[in-house]
Amino acid sequence: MNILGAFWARFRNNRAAVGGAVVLALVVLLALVGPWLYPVDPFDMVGRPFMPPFARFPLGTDVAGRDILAGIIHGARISLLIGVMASLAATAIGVTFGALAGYYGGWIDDALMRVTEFFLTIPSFVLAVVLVAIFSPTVANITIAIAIVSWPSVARLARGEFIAHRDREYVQGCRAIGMPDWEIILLQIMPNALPPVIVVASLTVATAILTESGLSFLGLGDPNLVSWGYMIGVARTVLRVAPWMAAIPGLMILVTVLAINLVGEGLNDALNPRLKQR
Amino acid sequence: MRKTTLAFVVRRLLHLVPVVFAIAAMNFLLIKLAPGDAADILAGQMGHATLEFTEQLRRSFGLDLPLAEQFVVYIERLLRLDLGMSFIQGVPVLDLIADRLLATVILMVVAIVLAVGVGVVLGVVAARRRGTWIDTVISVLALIVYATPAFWLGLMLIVLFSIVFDLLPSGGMMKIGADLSGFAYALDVARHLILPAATLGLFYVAIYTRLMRAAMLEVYSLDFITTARAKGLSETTVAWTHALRNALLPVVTLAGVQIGHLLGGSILVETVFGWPGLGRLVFDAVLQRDLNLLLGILFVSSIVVVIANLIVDLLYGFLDPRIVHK
Amino acid sequence: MSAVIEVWDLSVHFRTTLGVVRAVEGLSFAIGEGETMAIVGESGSGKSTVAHALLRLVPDPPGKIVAGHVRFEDQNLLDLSDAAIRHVRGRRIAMIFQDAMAALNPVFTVERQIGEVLRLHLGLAPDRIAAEVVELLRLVGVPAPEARARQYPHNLSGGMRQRVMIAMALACRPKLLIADEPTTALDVTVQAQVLDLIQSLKARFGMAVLLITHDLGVVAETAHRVIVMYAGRKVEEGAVTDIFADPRHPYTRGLLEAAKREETEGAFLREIPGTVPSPFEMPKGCSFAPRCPDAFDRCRMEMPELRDVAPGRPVACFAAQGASR
Repeated sequence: MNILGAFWARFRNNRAAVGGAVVLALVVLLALVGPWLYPVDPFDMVGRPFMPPFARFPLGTDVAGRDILAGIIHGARISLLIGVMASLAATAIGVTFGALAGYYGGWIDDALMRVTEFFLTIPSFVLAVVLVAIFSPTVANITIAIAIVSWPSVARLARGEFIAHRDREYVQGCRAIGMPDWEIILLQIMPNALPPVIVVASLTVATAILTESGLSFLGLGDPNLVSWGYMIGVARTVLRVAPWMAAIPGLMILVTVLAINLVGEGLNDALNPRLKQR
Repeated sequence: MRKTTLAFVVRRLLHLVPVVFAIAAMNFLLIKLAPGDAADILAGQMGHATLEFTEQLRRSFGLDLPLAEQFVVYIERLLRLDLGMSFIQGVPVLDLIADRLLATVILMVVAIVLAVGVGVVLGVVAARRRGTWIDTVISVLALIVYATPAFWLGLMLIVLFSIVFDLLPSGGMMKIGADLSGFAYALDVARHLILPAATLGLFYVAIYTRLMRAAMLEVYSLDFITTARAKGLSETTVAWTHALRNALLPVVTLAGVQIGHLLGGSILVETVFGWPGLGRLVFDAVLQRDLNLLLGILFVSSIVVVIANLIVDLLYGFLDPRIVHK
Repeated sequence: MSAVIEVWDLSVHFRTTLGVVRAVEGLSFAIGEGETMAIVGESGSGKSTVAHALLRLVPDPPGKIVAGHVRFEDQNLLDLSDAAIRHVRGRRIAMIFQDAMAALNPVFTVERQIGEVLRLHLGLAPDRIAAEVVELLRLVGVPAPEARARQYPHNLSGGMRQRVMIAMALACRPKLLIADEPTTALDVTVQAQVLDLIQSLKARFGMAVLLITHDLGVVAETAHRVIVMYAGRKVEEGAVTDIFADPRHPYTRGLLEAAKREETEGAFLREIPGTVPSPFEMPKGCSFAPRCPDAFDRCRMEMPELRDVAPGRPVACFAAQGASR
């Protein structure tokens, strides 16, 4: 069985991971085809406010009479979009930093790591709030802000991987035949360092979604878009009379993030099988 | 041992200087990158937003000087602990922050002590009862809590404990109107502290439980555990004395690393519970687009994180005698 | 000479994902008062498992003592409750291990670790413990014991750490000391010192010693009797002088020849040709047959039983027993 096949078999055996993957697929499906199957604008006032779920509207209406289900569907789109984009950006930056620092070592490593450590010192969520507040809340800015606070962890991991690989025989062999550095980094070491990076990237999507929901809860979401965090923020004042307005979007966040975490950990276990003798 | 500890602290404090400088530089950069400047805001507030007036203001604030000079002025002011004025509230930023800092520190300390305490205990229990239903329940709960947004959790806890069961207050730091003092006052604050501290800490309980469990399992495979058993010690003693002390190290390290994260979380939790700390201040500042205040908070919170990291490093050196304070 | 400890038919199995490993199979022996018994064998012979099994330190799962009887001070150690066996550990039977750096807790002081035994088994008060720890350290030859007591394992040299372990083991004057490869991790010069220390303390306190080792030199210097183990079974036993002068089992002969070669020609030619069989693919018949220069057909079909080829000299080998082919 080749490496990929063995990896798949291990992943398939992990019921939690498979469960997470299924749930995640459902959420993605919801985000993709939802607006088409349930074409309600989340900002439209479709009925009386405070209508409970399972009545005229599947999930009821919010404080302004807007359809909650429509909000959920669009929230899914936003959360997933920002989560994935931010994670991709953070991974790109982080891997670049980490690869260069890990491969070259010396003063390059020192300099790059100082920058990374610096960003790790600043409280990440505070920085994200400040960035979005300064540069105004748009999807692009939010994504960039989240990427800026997320890349240091990826950088540290990537650096560790590159340090581990740079002295391996196959790398020394490449150097011996005169292969240029960029080729060694990109084409030789990177494919080997990729698996743990993929795991971290997937877990970063989860934290990005949590961060985004926190930002929109505070009112720093894109005002033209409905996101889950925004819905919870709106529902906060009416907690006593209509707790479901806050509960439902929160549950969606929980379920989505949990699913991503399960998949991420499943990937990790499948990539690093530990002989479970006990 | 005393001398080396002192030298260690001094060295770390010296280390702080470039870090603080870098934080100040970043702050300065953000101030300059923000659309509009102090002169625009003030002019707009005063209702005299004409070009000449704004330019006049700018000159009086020194905002027309070259950037390098402005930066020097900025550093000078920071050294005098002058964080500028909140244009919205008309009060020096430092005063606003100083007012709220203590409340946030109390919340964070209680939350982290709770998180580490509960997390360590649950982690040891889960490791000892590995494979049993207790282990499974603990691990599953940890997974779920880890995926839960803290602010939502806070709201749900309010629903449960304040609305459904009228057990705990739903917000604030003390009972409004009640003029309590001494012990009664402390008790009242403590009652108000329970839900916010629990909300803030629960996320980290999940993290430390899983980390402690993993660390315990690793330690259990080490030789000195067999020695401890060979000496006749009970499994309980082996777990809670020999294994725990070693497994604690990675947890303390992580707790230190996550202080900044915790500060961020306090923004959300304080907002949900109306806890009068820095976090609430951030929320208010965001609402009113009070950039000076926001940047001041960013600066102060970064300093807090740096100091807290130093304390954790010292604590770690105390826990692990192999760390030689070189 | 009455026996301090008697072992009958001890069998320890390990359940793994790849199958059951018979680490120890049907082992019986006895150690007399004041006697030093050595168990010798390559890694994988099961000798270390025997040592752990006596104090019920075999990790379960995956290990399990599936059969046997261990008689010590009128009790069967394998039948005792958990509380009762803890009463024996560190107090009546003590054990020291190979790598003292790994076997000592890195975050506790020497005083704390030795004091634990004193507090637990002898109920000493804290002030008495400090004094007693210093005395014990002095006894095992640790210089400046007051200062060393307050240090941590990583502050000490390898030899000193081993002495600390010995001090910890002797704190309650046990009747039997189990030493699992006590000198393997030490420098050659320190090895001799530690062995001498064990010998002198043994004489002083009238202890019996069970010495687990792969080093025949150590056996020659310190043991009275020796058991040779291969693939979980005893294959030969006898007085050290007899075994060294006249080894009967081909494996024992191989070990002795390899040891002699090492002395004369250096470590390079030390091994017996071939390797110990994988525990999951045990050959039918005698486990040593694939490597044995004297093996014949019956060896590959049947497992030889232990039979005395001379008084007190059991050997498990058809050739040595002069059995029919």
